[in-house]
Amino acid sequence: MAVPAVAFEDVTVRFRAPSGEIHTVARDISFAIEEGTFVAIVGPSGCGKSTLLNAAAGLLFPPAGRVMIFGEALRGINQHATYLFQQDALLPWRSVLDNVMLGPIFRNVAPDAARDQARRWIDRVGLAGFEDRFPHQLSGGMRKRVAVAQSWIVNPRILLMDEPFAALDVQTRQIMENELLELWQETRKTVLFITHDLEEAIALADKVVVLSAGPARLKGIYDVDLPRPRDVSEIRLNPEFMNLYRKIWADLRDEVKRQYDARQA
Amino acid sequence: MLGKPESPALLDQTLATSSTRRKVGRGAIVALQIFTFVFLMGIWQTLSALTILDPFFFSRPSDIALRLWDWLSTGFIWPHLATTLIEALLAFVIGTAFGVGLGLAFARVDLIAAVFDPYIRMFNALPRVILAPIFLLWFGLGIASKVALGVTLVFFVVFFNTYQGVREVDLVILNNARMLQATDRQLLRHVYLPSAMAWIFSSLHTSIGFALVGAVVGEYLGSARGIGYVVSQAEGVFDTTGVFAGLIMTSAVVLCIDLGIERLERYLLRWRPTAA
Repeated sequence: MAVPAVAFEDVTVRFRAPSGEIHTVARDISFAIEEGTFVAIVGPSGCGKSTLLNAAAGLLFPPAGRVMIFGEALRGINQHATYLFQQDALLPWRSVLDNVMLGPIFRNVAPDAARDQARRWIDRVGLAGFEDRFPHQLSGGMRKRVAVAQSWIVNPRILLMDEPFAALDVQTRQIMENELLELWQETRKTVLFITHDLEEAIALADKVVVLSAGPARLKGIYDVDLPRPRDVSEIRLNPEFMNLYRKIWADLRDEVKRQYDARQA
Repeated sequence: MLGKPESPALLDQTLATSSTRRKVGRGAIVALQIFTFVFLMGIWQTLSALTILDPFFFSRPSDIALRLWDWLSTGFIWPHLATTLIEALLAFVIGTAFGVGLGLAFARVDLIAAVFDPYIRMFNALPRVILAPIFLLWFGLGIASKVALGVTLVFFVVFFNTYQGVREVDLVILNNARMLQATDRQLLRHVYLPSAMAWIFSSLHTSIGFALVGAVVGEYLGSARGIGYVVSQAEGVFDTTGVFAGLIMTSAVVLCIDLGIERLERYLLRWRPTAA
């Protein structure tokens, strides 16, 4: 079997809360992702999904267990990955063009070449003509497109996405999901996509990983054998989609309830 | 369907005005400002003409205006003004350079911040004017002692703002840049400094003012030229008109510089959403 792109090996993450108590947000999580797979991770809000993604990004170092990236234990920032955040992560003081150029510039690509690449990607995400705008002059959906171009331009082998479209309205969100699928279809990168929306997870992914209520544990992994290319709004009507949804939701529902009850208590 | 975003041209034209506040025209504001000035000067002039205000202690707007005209037309004031401005400029540049440099160091290296924190507080708590005599002893009556005084004033303003600006960098933006493989130097250049710039700029008005304060106070306490010197000479012979003329000269200069900064600021911080 080929070396997995990302493998969590007994990863446990704890934080010290301001009050001094120790919170375990993820416990003994192990699973592996093969290169080229689109994996969605679902779980109740606040269960520690983002923490897991940050561990894969190298933004935090788990105190127990380890994250393997292409067979090597991850230390420091994950060099193979880029990250699509839920919040705005563009540099507000840089134009669209300069923002998209950042990755190549940080990798010491000559400015002219970086600018050419950036223009191609801006065109690719449908923002031609907006190169000189500042982020605050764009809509939320447009800013997300810039972020997509910014993370894709460096041709990473792994893309980490933390509820990237959660803040968008429903229509914009579906458009972005379809465009994401289109991009992915061409490049077949390894994607870790965090969401709390099960429909989004099934519509996009090859595999759905279900996490339990916090502290997160691995609850189950489901294969999504729906035909590609997909259209996120149409695939929801596929009977196979609905079967799968019912099956996973049965698993997820208890956890969402547990998490909710824990919050209320 | 929202297939493609709107064209850029369309976005430019969609300007709306807030309905909560009524806009007063620019011309009306300027007219009111001029009126306020004329009104206050008129009261002053009248009161001193009626000797309710003793002209010996309060002078008269007409006298002050004549004096200013005299200074400007004979060229008497230019060398003094130049001296003061050079001192202020040097104090500003040196103070800002130290402030930004140390502010970055403190914000980025926790050990430095922890060790030097009490010293910084101590120096900041010190009223800087009492350093003037020491600077006069160390650096003499020339330009250097005034620059030194100005630097101690400017430094802290810029230092604290830089420190704050770097500390307040948005964590998501920072992480994104790190994921794009920015090195520490690149983070400094592309993330930390621009983020701190907004803070440094908002303090520019204060720090320029302080640079001038340093220069003028230094001159007042001991020098052979500069606006502060002119004021202290006038004071020495109970020439109230001269003192007021010096004050007005100084504030006019600060006002001009301030307007210039505002323009520069508007250009450099154009990436920020305008608070409507």
